Amino acid sequence: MQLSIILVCTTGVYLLWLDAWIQKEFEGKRWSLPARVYASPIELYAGLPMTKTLLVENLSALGYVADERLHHSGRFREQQNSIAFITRPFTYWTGKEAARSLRIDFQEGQIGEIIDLDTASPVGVVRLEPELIGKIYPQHNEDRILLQDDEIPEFLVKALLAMEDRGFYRHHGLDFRGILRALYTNIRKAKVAQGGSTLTQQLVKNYFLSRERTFWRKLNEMAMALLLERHYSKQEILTAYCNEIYLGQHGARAIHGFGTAAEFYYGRPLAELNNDQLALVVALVRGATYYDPRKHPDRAQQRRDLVLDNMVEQGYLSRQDADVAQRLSLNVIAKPAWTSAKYPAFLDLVRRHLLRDYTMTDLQDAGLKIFTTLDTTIHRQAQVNASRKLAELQRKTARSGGKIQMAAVIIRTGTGDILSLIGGSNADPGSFNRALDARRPIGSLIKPIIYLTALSAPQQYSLLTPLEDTNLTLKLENGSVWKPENYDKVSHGTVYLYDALKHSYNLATVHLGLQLGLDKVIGTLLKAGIDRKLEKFPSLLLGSVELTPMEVTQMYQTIANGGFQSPLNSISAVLDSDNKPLQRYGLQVKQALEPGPVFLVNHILTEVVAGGTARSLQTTMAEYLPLAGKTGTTNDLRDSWFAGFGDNLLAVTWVGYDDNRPTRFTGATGALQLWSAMMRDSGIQPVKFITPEDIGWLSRHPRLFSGNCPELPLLPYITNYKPSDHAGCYSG
Amino acid sequence: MLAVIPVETLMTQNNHLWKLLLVCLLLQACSSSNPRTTPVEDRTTAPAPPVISSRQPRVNVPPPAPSNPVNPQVPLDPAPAATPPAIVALLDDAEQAEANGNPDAAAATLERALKIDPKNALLWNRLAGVHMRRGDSQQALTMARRSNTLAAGDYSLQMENWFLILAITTNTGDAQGEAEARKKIEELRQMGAGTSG
Repeated sequence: MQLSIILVCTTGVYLLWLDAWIQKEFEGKRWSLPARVYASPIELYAGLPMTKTLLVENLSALGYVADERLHHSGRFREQQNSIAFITRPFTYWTGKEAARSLRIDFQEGQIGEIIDLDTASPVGVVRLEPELIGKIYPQHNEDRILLQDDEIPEFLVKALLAMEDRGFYRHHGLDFRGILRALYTNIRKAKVAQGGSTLTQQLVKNYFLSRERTFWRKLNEMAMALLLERHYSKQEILTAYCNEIYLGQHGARAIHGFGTAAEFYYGRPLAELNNDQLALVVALVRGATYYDPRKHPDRAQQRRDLVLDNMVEQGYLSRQDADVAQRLSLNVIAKPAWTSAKYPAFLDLVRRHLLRDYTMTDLQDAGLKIFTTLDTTIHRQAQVNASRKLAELQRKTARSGGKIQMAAVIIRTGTGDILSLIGGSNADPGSFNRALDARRPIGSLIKPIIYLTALSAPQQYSLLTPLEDTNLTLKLENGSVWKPENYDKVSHGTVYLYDALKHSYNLATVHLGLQLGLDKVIGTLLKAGIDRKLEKFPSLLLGSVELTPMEVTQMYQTIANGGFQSPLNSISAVLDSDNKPLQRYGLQVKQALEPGPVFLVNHILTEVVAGGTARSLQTTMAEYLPLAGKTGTTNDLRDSWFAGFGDNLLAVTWVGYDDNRPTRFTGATGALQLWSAMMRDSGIQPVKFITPEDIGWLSRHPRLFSGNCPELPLLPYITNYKPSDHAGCYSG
Repeated sequence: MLAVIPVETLMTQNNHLWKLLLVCLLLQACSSSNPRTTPVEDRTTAPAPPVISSRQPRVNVPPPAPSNPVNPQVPLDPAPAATPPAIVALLDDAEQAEANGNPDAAAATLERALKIDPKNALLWNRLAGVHMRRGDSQQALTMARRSNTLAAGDYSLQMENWFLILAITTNTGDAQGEAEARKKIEELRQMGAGTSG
C-alpha cells in the first residue's frame, strides 16, 4: 500500500516535471539552420547577350521545369523565339520581390524585349532568384529549411496522415484504434507494414528522445505525446513534425524536414512539387535509407505508389489521378549544385571573408542568407575550359612528371567583385586553395609597377625615354653578385621605355628600377593594393617577390581600373533567417594611383597583346581585341603567369607545380593559354580606355626624331611634359 | 543636399559669405538636374524605346577644339552613350528608395546597376550623391572623381560632379580640393555647361 502511494506520488511529480520540461523545450527550441550561400542573381535586360538555350540552361539550374500550362512559379514554356516563365518570390537586400510572369524575346543572340505577362508592359530589368551554391552546416550536420504552417501543401498533409496517422485529428496523442489496426495488418501480412505510433509520438521520439528501444522509453514517449497534445494545437505539432522528420542523407549531412527534402531530391521549393513527388517524400518517412530514391529507385517507387493507393483508399485522391501519378517515373535530380563540390575555392573564400564579421556558430546555426558575387555562368564555362586546357598542358609537360597545378581568379574590374575562383586542378573541398594561399614569385608581372613608378614622374620619364638594355652586375649587401639576363640572353642596347615593357626586357627594367630606387617601386606596389612587408632586394625588380594570385589580381585591378581601387570582394550582403537585412558589403573605391600614368602603362599593356609577349591572343582571342595584359615567367620556368583584362573583366592565371619543379612553360605558353581558354566564352569586351584630360597624343615628328627612325605608332604622353628633348632613334 | 553643408557654420564665419553663394549655385545645379533623374519614360504603359534620349546633355555644348588638330588619327573617346532602359529603370528604383528613406537600398540598387554597366558615369555620380547625403564624404568624393574620369564629353555631368566635390571639400575644410573644384566649375561654365538651370 505504502509502496503504491510512493509510486503514484513519484509518478505524479515526474509527470509534472516532464510537463514543464516539455513546454520549455518545445517553445524554446530553435532549430540550428545552416547558412545558405547564394551566387549572384542573373540579371536579364534588353540588349544582354543571351540565347534561348542558355536561358533554359540557367532556368533548369534553378530547378525550373518546362510546363505548357505555366501555372505557377518555377515553370517555363519555350516558344519559337521566346521563353515565358514565372519567377519565384525572393527576398533580396532591397526587399521582397514577388513572383512575376514574364516573356523574354530573343533577337540576334540578345534579349530583345522583356514583357510582364500580367500587365502586358515592358520590363526594364529583372533578376532570376540566385542559385544556391553551398551551405555552412551546424556541428551536428543537420540540414533543414524551416517551413511555416501555410507553406505545407495540403496534399502532403493528407498523404502523411493516410500513411502514418489516420486518426491524427481525433486522438489526443495516442491512437489505440491505430495500434490495433496496425497490429491486425501486421499479423495479416506477417510483416511490419504499419507502425502504431501517432505523428505526435514520432515527433516526440525524434525531438526529445534517444534512439534506444526500451520499454521505459516507450512509456516516456506515450506520456510526452499526451502532454504535448494538451498544450499545443494540431497545426503546431504537424508543422514541427514536417520540419523535424529525417528524410535522407548526403554524405555526413542529415536531411531533415520536407522543405529540405524537396530541395535535395528535386532541386526546387516544396510548393512546386507535383503530387507524385509529394507522395515520394512522404514515402521516405518510413525509412529514408531503405527507400532512398537514388540508390533504390524500385523500392522508392513501390512505396510512393502505396502512398497514392492509400490516399485513394482514404478518399483524398481519385483513382484516375492516382493512376496518372503512378505512371510517372521518379525524376529525382542527380545531385543539387549545393551538395556537389562545384565551387569549393570560392566557398572557401566566402567562409574566410564571413569569419571576419561572424562567429562560426552564427554561420552554422542562424540560418543566415549570404549573397555572394559568384557568376555561375562565367564560372561554369571557365571551370570546364580550364580543366580541358590544363589536361592539354599536362600532356605537354608529361616528361617532367608530377601533376601540373593551376589557379585562376576572374573579377569584374569596375567593382572588384570576384566572379570565379579556381584553386587547383581538382575541385575537392578542402584541397589546397592556390588562388588564395599559393605564394609564388610573380616574375615579369611586376614590371608594370616599375614603369608606372617611372611614368608617375612625367618631368623625367615618358614612353619615349631611352633605357639601357645592357648587361650589369650588382654586388648585393650579403656579398653575392647578381647578374640578371634577358630571357633571350641578348641585350638590345638603347631602347624606348615603351618597347622595354612591351617586350619585357629584363636588363632595361633593372636599370630603370635602380634609377628609381627600390623604395619608390615598393611604394607603388603598396599603393596598388599589396598589403605585405616587402624585402628590398634588387631581384624584386624582376619579380622575385612572392604573391598569391589574389594579390596579383588586386594589383592589376587597380591598374586596369585607371587607378581606382576596389577591394576584391566575394560577398554583397547578408540577411538573417527571417530575411531581415543584417549587413551589406557595399562597393568601396579608393583613388590609389594617378589616372594619367596608369593610362600610359595601360597603353603599353595593350601593345603587349598587340605585338609583344602576349601576341598569341591576336589569334586565340581575335574577336575580342584589343585586350591588355602581361605575361610572367620565373627562373627555370617554375611559374607561368598571365594577368589580362578587357573592358569589363580581368583574370589572372597561374600554372606551376606545388613542389616548385620547372614546368617547361613560359607565361606565354602556359598561363596565357589557360587564360584565353577560360576567357573566350566569358563575355569579355575589348578594352576602351577613356583618355584622362591630361593626356596628349604624339605621332612621329621630324623635329623629334631625326634620321631614319622606324615608324612609330601614336603614343600618349602627359600634356605638360611633351617628349621633345630626347631626339634620336632606338630600335626596340 | 542642404543638410550636408553646415550653413549655420558658414554664416558664423562671416568672411565666408561667398560660400553661401556657392551653396545656392549648388542647389540650383542639383534642382536643374531633376528632369534627368526622373526618367520621362513611363515604364508601366508605353513600350520602352530601345534607347532613352534623356542622357543627352541639357545644354548644347560645343565640343572643345581637338587638343591636337594636326593629328586626325588621334583616338577618339566614345561619345557619352545613351542610358539603356535597364539602367534607367534601376536609377528610378534607387531614387524611389532614397525618397522612401532607405538610402542603403538606393546604394544597393545603384551598385546592382553598376554590375551591369560599371563604366556608367551617371551611376557613379548618383552613387556619390547617395554617399554624400549619408555622410560618407570619402566615398562620395572618390566616386564623383570616378564619374568624372568616365564622363568625357558630358560637361553637364562633369559640372554636377564638381559641384558635389565642391560641397564635400567645403564641408570637410579641404581648401585645396575646394579651390580645384571652383576652378573646374568656372572652366566648365565658360564652356557653356550647366548654367541654364
